[in-house]
Amino acid sequence: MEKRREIISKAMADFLEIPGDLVLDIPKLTITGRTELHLENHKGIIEFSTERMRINLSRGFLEIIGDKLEIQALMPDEMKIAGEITGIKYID
Amino acid sequence: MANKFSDQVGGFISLYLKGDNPEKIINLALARGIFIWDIKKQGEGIHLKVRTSGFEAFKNIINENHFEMEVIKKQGLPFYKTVMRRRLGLMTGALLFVLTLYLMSSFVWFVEVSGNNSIDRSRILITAARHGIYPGAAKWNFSRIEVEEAMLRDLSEIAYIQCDIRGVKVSIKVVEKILPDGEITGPCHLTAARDGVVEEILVLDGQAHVKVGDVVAKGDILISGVVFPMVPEDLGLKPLIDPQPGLTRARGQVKARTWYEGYGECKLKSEEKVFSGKELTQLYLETPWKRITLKGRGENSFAIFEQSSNEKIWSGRLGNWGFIRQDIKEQVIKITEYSEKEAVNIAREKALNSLRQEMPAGLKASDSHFNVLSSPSDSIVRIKVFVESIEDIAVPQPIDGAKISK
Repeated sequence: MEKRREIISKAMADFLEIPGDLVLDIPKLTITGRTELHLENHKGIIEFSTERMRINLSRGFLEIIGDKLEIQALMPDEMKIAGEITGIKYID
Repeated sequence: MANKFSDQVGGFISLYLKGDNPEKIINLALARGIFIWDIKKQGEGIHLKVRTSGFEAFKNIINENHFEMEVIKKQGLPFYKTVMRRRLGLMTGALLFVLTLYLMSSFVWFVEVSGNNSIDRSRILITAARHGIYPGAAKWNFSRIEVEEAMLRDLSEIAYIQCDIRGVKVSIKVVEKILPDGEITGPCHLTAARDGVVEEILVLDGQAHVKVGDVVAKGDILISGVVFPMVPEDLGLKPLIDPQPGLTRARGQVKARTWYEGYGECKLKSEEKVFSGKELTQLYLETPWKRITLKGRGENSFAIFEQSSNEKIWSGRLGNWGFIRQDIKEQVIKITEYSEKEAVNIAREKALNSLRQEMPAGLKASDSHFNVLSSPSDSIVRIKVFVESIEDIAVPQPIDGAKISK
């Protein structure tokens, strides 16, 4: 059911040429170098430590692996993470 | 994002939280709209920062979830209030300082005048003071433009004035009017200003009394203002028996060869006293009973010296009290000897200097030469310098009754 709604929304967004992150609540990541990550449309934090961070998304979650990780700013739908980032992974 | 300035103004608190699942606290704060930032994991707990406005709500979340909380630091302007209240004297002093500085800088302390040549500086200052600019005047009591206009009205010799107010200094810049010289309007002669030989004569009005090549002395009439009517000879008319002269203001130019001379001398051997640099200072304390030497014991052993003394004496009931200071400076005789050539050069330089003082500025010399007056055996070289030039020597001389109008 969820999946079907997503497919329809995506088709609509494509047809109307509207960016997906606005309509579909899709996460948007901006990574500056290796030390800064800006994430929009998140759904809260699942796990938080200096080496590993898991962030809830509308579908699945995002795993960030690195060293000395910290949340520099946290707002209802965006956040900024700083530290030595070594890997980013989408997990369903 | 975290705005550093607004955080400082509103104030923020650094916290350390200890407990299981700190993620829960973060998510709850997020859900309730409490802004937190700089979240760092350290040991078993987390470090974070929260705004003062959201602190109460955040504390509720912590208490509900049984977390341990430790306030590490309170930062921002609201937390300085207590510090300020404690150091009231310092704050008052700082405020007073700023206030005094502002007050002192809103007065005029110095007035400077520039650009004036013939107008007296004090006259400009007095006029400025009458319109409000004087040392000690408050800046809000006068308007620059009004003062400028009023001063321009009062000082008729000034063409332009500018009052520049820079901090506590007012510089008044003036430009003077160039007024025409007093002109003789009535009838007049042109007379010779100095002796010379006439080289060129140009008559615009009047009757020439000299011709080229004439030797004239100072005061001679060159172009006369008294004009006799001319009778053309070839008409065969009889000359008037008693021609009535007419008066006019003679105009023209009379260029004449003039001479100037200057004199200078130089001794071949000269002696002068100069200070050797050695000096003796004596300081005495004068009492009614005894004069006590405070400084400078010892005799004056200089052969030639200059002595100056400075006394401060008060007379009391018992006698005189005071200090006496004596400065003795040693002098030596310095003998300077010049060769004849050097002496001639020096004497000529002196002669030229004396000549320059005599000659009007801007006059061009057409010829110059110098004579050595002294004989080679003399101990002094005397030199006379002659300069020949061509200049306009005509000066107006009013005929009786004519006045010089200004």
